[in-house]
Amino acid sequence: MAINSSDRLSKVYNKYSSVLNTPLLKELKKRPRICEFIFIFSVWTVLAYIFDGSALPYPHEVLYGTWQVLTEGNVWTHISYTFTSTFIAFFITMAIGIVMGISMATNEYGTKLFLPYVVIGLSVPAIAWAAIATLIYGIGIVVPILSAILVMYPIVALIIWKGVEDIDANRIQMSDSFDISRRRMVRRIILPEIAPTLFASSRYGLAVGWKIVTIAEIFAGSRGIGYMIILTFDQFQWSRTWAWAVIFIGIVLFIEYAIFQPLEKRAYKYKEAEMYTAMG
Amino acid sequence: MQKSNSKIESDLGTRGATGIKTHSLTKEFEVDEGTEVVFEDVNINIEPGSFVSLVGRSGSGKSTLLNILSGILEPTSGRIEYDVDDPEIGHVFQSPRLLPWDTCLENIEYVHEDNSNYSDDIAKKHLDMVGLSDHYDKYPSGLSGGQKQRVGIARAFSIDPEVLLMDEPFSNLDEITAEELRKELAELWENFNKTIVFVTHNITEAIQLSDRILMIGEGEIYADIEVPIDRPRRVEDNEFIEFQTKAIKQFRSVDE
Repeated sequence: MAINSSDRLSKVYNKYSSVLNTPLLKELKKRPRICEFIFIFSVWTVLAYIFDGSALPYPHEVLYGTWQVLTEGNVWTHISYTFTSTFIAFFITMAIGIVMGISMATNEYGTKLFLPYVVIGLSVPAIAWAAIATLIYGIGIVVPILSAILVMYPIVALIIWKGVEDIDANRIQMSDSFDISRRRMVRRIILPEIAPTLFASSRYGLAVGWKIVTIAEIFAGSRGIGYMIILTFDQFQWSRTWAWAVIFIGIVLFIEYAIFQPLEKRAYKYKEAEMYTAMG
Repeated sequence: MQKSNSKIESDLGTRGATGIKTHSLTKEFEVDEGTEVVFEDVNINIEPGSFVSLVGRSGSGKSTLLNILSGILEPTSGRIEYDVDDPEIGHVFQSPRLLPWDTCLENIEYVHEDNSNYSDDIAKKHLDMVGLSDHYDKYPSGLSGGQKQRVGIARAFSIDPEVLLMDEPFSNLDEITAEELRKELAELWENFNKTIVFVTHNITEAIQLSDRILMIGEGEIYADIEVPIDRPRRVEDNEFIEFQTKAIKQFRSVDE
């Protein structure tokens, strides 16, 4: 029985192998990102068909909508507004998170002082911060910035806390024994050592920052990508709603591939070093 | 490691060695139950250019004594006197403590913060000295355990120290590599005039390398023995075995 099914399988494989081994498919096997796009667009088209193109327009309609949005004069106003809010929130959060994280990692007083803020920050839902900030400050740029900071800081502080705690004390002791200055130690030991932590917290900070800023703009915005998403949604211009989402995703992907990954590659060059493969 | 020639010596080691004297050195640690005395009233006199091993069991305080000699730890009381003011002290640790994000050359450059005469050539010569001429730009992840320790040794020698403090540098290596490194260290010590204080729990290693063995335990230096065997020393020689038997007996005497 087993031999029969295996025979059947090999017959099926032989029948279709010419198709599977076409130059196009061979090329696609080497390019996962293109496959990813094809997959997303296929699923998207099927879903658009199921929803009759209303709530979820077809990809070509969204792409056309994106083109229209991009060629209109006000697109950069909204993008730069969301960007500004996100980056202001990001830098303030990183500063707060680094100070809190390092304090908690290096002394007990710091842990006792800041841990309650981290726990409280983590337990309040993101949407609650946006609602509270809107109640206090009304419509304006303060709401998205404040909401993003309140959501991001506990996680950034937590990641940095654990990262700094893991610094290898032996290398610090080695530096002390060779009379290395604190400045050189920070540059040559501490920074490379906490680089993975900084990358992780920055990635997380930005990823969450975008989301919260956009949500806050939906709540209480007069400008920005979030505001445009809700505005076009209310006007039933759904292909435009999706177009703004596509622009948003494009920017996030650009930051990941054009900024984070090259920086990371540079910082982790040493990890690419061939591992020693001694016999035994 | 390549045997050092006079040219390398003149380039790499000009500072010479210093003697070390400790006066009533005592170290105590505060613990939950009160005060724990690691050692008390330790007086040792180490000649310039000598190779002295500190031998003791785990927890005997040998590494603490080494860390006090290096200045990493402060003694509770007593003092240390060097023949020269502010001597240059090189360290080789049990694990090499290299910077994984820096190449071998950069690892050596790291400890030359205040050395205006430093150049990559100096670092290269030190790496040549320990047999790593083909590894200047390699990262530690690409090196074997023995090679990493060689970088650690080159780094310590590169600052041209008057004293070299070594804390069980070969205990993490396999025996064949450790044996190879012991021979090479003995050659380096013979070619460069440096005082070496070497911490180990391995009596055989101490006899192979040292002029003098200080045994530490129960809070004191309980034995101070000269090693009367000619160099190069071979563990299989009768003279070596006889001395080793005596030394081991003495090492165990602390339990009696």
